[in-house]
Amino acid sequence: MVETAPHTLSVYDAHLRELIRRVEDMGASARAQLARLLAAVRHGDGEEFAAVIAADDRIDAQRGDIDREALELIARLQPVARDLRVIVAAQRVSRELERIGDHVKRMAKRLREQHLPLPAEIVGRLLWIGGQAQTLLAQAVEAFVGADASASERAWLDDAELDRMYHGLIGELLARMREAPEWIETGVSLVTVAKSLERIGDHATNIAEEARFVVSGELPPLHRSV
Amino acid sequence: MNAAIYRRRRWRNRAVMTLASAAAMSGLLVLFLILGTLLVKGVGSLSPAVFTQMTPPPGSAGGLLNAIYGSIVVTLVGTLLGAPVGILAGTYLAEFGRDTRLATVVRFINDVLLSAPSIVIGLFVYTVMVVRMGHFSAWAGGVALALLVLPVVVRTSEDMLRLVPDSMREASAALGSPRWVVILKVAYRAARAGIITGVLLAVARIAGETAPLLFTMLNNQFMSTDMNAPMANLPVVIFQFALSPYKDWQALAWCGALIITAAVLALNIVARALSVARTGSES
Amino acid sequence: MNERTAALGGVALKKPTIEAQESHGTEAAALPEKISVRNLHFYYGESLALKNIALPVYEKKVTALIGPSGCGKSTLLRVFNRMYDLYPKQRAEGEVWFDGENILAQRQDLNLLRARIGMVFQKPTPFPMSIYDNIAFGIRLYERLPKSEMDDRVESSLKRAALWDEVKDKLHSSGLGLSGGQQQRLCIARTIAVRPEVVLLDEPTSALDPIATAKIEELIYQLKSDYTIVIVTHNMQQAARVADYTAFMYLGELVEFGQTQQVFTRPKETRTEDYITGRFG
Repeated sequence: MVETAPHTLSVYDAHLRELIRRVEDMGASARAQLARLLAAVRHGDGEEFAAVIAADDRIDAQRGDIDREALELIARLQPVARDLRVIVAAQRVSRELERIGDHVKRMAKRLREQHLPLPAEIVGRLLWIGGQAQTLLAQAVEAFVGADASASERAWLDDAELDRMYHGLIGELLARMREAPEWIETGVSLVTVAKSLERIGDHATNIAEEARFVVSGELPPLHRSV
Repeated sequence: MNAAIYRRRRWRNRAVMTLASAAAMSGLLVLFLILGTLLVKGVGSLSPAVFTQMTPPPGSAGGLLNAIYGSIVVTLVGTLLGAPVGILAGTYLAEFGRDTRLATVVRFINDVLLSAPSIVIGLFVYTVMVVRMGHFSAWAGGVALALLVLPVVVRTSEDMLRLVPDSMREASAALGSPRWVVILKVAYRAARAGIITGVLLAVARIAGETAPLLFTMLNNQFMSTDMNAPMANLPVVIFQFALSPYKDWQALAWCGALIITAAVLALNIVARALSVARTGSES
Repeated sequence: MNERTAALGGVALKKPTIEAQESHGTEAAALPEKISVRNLHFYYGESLALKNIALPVYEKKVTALIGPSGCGKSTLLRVFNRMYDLYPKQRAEGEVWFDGENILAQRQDLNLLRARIGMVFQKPTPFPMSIYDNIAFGIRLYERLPKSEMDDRVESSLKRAALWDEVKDKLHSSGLGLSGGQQQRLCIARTIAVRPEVVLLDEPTSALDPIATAKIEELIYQLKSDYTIVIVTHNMQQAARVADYTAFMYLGELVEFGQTQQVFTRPKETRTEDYITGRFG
């Protein structure tokens, strides 16, 4: 949004800036949730999970605000071209961020039920994947806010890397479950946790994709291939 | 498309076009014939003497000075009496009366006055002024001409003020202007050039009037500046000299006619220029 | 003020929907009303042009009046400065409160009222005089200013109307020489030079091209920090863009009044919805 010329109607810019700021805030909230979850995993702090679950409402509320703001912008300013794409994309990004929030919440619920501490090896891998997801998310939101179309390519590569790490972890969990059937319950739970982290990567990639949509006007591809 | 109908329509178009052009040309032709005749017959006797010497007795040399002076004076008096009243009446009709019954009546009477034969006006002033005062006078001539100026100025002033869009009056009123400010500072300002044009056209109209002056101002062989006495004036001098059997008088009559025509033409051109300027800007 | 708002709420239950504040209730409820219309009826001769209008005009907000041609929106606007008084046979009944006075009262000083409630028209109406004199015209009606002060006033008015930079070198040339959009900004400058409290805009951009229109709209936005603005517009999108509150009128009635955002995203009345979505039959 930075490099575009200002609108004659200055309030238009104010509204658009406000919308982008809200998306940025929401992205920060989602990232903070993920970071908090990962910290709880690292420290084996069961109490923190409940706090993470409770905090998800805030992200949902932020999505509601973005929807309202976008609706008002469309109704009042009749945006077209890039302005229209920014608004539509902002709404879609807010959906992705909300889903990311939901995944974090789901992970927190799963992890709360676990008997902590988890094996260090598993925690290490989870944190590693989580860290990757976090970076991906941060870069995607930044790319969207800065309307950086080039970020989507990198996001796809990073997401592919995340996928590889995810598959590695799944293999590890399956191996443990095969060895020790009493571990199956925990294993299945951790598979869903890992799955959530992998999904967060996908959502983050979608967000980066929206940045490209804003700049180029090409609709995000339906199927991803790397 | 029916080719026959189209052909017929085209033919008809061409026929009517030709007729219309012919009519326009004949009008122009008559105008140029008049101007040409005046030039041919009048230019010959045009000399400085015309503007410096009195009308002569037959057979001697002279000019038209007293007649020119009288014409200017009586036209001025007629305009000064008629135009202000006309402008005010036009203002009433355009700004206040509008579609009221009084305004409609005034407008109708004005139209009657506008088309009244000038000789009738002359007779009227003769009865009202000359008979009562017991003698012809320049004042009576001025009043008669004023009566001719009046309806023209009333009509043009009203028309010109009506051309000022109401939105302009509203805009002025919307700033909190009282009525008189709206009229004086905005409506008059916007209609100024048009009103002046109207006055000039009225002047052009009376400059050549003969009939009303015959009954009111008569003529005078000598230079006179007495407004209460008969005074020489171009139209009547032309009338008298042209009818005379004397060649030099006839020549002077042609010359006078040329002068009046030139003056009227000049006034018309100025009026035209002003009305063009009206659409332009002013500072 | 609260009593008055309550009274309007009472009327709202019957016919027009007065719903200024729902989602942002507390903020809007505290808004002072600059003009309050109550039980307003308006007649052109025998025909009734406005039927029982009740409407608040909030201070330092932009209120838009929209509706199809002949719905009475311009008529309502012209009640606010008693413009209809210029024409015989037009008359208003009811109450229009403006700073504690009923402006429909007989004893109302119209010229003073119009100095406090300015108006800008559909077609730009520069007077046939210089740009400077156009601005000074209204000021001179009520104030005697020394030249330097008058110069300052003219300059600040033109600046406020975002016209100064375009005309500062030709203040003494005719206002008629400006472009349509500039003429309209000149008219706005002329109006605010008199320092009114309310500015009425009667379709101010309908004769202008899109860029000139955008400039005027931006100007309206800038002006609302100092003035209460009421705008009549044919262009619904314009109302959506510039107005804080929107009133939809139809056949002389106020159908719906509310925050612009509400009116354009979830109108309460079917007639409003049909009109703003282009389904009017």
